[in-house]
Amino acid sequence: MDKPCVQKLTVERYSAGELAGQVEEHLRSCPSCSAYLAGLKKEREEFLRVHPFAEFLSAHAAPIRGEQWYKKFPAIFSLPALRPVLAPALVLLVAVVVIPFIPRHGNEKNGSDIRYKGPEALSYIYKRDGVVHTGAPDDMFRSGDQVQIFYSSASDRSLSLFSIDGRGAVSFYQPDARSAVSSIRSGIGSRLAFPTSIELDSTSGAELVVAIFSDKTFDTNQIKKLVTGYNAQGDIAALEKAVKSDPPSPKSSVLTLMLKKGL
Amino acid sequence: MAGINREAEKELRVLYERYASLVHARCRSILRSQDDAWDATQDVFMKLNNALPSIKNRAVIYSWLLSTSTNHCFSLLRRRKSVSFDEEIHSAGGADHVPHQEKEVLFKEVLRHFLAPWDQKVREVVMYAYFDGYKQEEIAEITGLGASTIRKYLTRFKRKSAASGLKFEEVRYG
Repeated sequence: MDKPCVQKLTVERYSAGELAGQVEEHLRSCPSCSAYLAGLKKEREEFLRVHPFAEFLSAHAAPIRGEQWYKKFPAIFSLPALRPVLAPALVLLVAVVVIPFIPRHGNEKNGSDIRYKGPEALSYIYKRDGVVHTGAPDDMFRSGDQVQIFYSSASDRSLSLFSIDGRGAVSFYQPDARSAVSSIRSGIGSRLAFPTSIELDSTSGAELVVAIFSDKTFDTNQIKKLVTGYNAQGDIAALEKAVKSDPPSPKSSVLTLMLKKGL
Repeated sequence: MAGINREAEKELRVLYERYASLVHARCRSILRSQDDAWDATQDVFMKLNNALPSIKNRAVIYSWLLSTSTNHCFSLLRRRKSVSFDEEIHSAGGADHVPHQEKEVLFKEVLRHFLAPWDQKVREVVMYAYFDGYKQEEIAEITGLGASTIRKYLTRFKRKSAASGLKFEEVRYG
């Protein structure tokens, strides 16, 4: 190819459509530069005939036309065809992420990964005729109902759970029924399941469930003495009020559940 | 979003139609193979496609393409390790054999091998000066290097080459 007399780069740029008008006058009067320009134009025509842009594009359409994969990702959710699949997938994803953080109802109350900072609380579910029901304020119980107590505790304390029926009889629910010690370690967490459940008998009237969280343990005799000391005279509502207002020790907290029995 | 891509594709088409033959010629002069040059040209334009959003000044596109294609081709040569002499050289003994052209081609081939281990910037400057025939002010425009730096690179290269028996007075522009 002929060599240009002016700067080679200038002619090449002109041939590519840059520098329009700036070198035209020189090109008209300079045979070497115009010949070099003609050579470049011929070479371009030949190249584009052999390798048109369409050929280049067909080989690289995806990266040229498409966005980066991470930019495409949000657009996937707008595809109508994928919605039936994406909705269950989203639910599954949420479940997989959330379930490990839901407190379990088993006896894993001492798990070091649990950090419950709320107040102590009691709740329950109950099983009647083989069907489990969630506890509600207006529940009416009957003989044979099995009640599972759940509690929440912000610190690992002693927990005594017992119930007092309409006759004033005290029942204890420590895992070892023969043990005189009524307390267990509460562990820390929300909605922890008490190790045993309460099976209601046929005694009429309400059953008051009492949970005492304390720094010290209690045995069954101490609890019975405590209940007697409240001198509620068989009034279960008065007993509930008394036990809550006068805990067994200054560092104790008392929670109660009144389970009403119907016919 | 689709509109943005169409615009980008349109711009790439314009740039391809303006510069692809120049890039291809450059790649061919280094790689000495039509097929390899076409592959390299595509690579360079894909690099351009990726870099376009960051190239604010469209006036430097040609410089960018020259620099990128030069370095890309040398990178390919390094990976290939051994370079086969192309038909241009082997056909030199034919009926229309022109000794001067043969000499030039052989010289470039030697120069190409000789350049491979040099620093990227030096190699680029040498390529522009001795392969492409760009003047020093053009090389400054393409590389952004100062005139004194370009002179220093060329002097250093010539001195080392002379010690190996290469004479740059015989270089012909390709």
